[in-house]
Amino acid sequence: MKLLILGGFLGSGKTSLLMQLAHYMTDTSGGTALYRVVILENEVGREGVDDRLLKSSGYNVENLFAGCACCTVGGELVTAVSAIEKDYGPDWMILETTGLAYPGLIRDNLCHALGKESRICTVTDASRWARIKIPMAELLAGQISCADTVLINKADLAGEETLEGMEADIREMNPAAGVRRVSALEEIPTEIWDRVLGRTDHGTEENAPDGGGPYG
Amino acid sequence: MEQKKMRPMAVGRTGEKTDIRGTGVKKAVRENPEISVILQESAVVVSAFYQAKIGREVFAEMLRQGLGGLAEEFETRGAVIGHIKASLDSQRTEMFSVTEREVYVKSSGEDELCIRLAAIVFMVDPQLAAALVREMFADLDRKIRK
Repeated sequence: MKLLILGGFLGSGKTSLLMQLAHYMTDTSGGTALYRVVILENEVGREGVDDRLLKSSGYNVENLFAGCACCTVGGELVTAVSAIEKDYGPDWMILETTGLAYPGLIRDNLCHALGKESRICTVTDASRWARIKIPMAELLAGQISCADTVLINKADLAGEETLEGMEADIREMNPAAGVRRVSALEEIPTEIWDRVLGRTDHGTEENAPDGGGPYG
Repeated sequence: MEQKKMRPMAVGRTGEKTDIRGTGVKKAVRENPEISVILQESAVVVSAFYQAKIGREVFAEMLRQGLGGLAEEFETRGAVIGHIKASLDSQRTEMFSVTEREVYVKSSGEDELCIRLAAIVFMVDPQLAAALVREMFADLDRKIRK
């Protein structure tokens, strides 16, 4: 079972992008699904909201509520991941973190506890970047610095100058990450999902800091 | 990085009432809305569960306006909204009965709605955040009664 940690700040569009990614991974229109996928949804409050949307869309979703997987429910996370592998044996497990999580801590926890490596995709919000980058600087840097791929979501809502400034900020935090502009309202090119999943059979170099995308 | 513990600030209360037939069986009753607040690092996390009986479409518009007003209340107080999310589940039961040939259909005519809300906000007092969420649901209650 491979692990993908989908992180990013609150309201950045993680769930919307996850819906598209899960569709891409499980679509059977070509005969068979690319992968068997289980989604683990982590929400910090007592009431789950995102999991209800994903479940009603037909995806296999497990929950981890009332705490953040990078700290307060770190132990429960390890138990949940083990149970998912044992009970479902999927090709991929995607963990959608809370918007407050540091994905690097989750990756370290899973590596130490289960010996499993994870890929990290961090979603950022172009429409709010200028407003939150200073008050949320530590959290944003923590979420971006560990990512294999950074998706600049809501790129359609920001001007070119904003996007270029945002890319520069992100590259300063993480020069090695692949950075792509997307809009969850539109279909994401499969090449971007392949990069998120670390698939290199499209001839692209994994994790090249390449910017651009549909809005590049 | 140092791991910080979540501190519970308040929890929703579950009341009890005695069965009206005097059997002594007590039935748990959720407060409506049931609201809890926790702190996660610098974020205030308000969770709420609310139930109502009203047409789904009508309530959805009321909720849309209520959430917009709630966001405005936070922002005018200088808070930074992480996100405010709500899910709306509805259920309507219709009973079909037949004794001869004719099938009778009975419906309550109203949807039973469950609303789950999660508001994650920065730079706001936790009790104030809970109060603003509670006031939003109180306002929805008043509109439903009208």
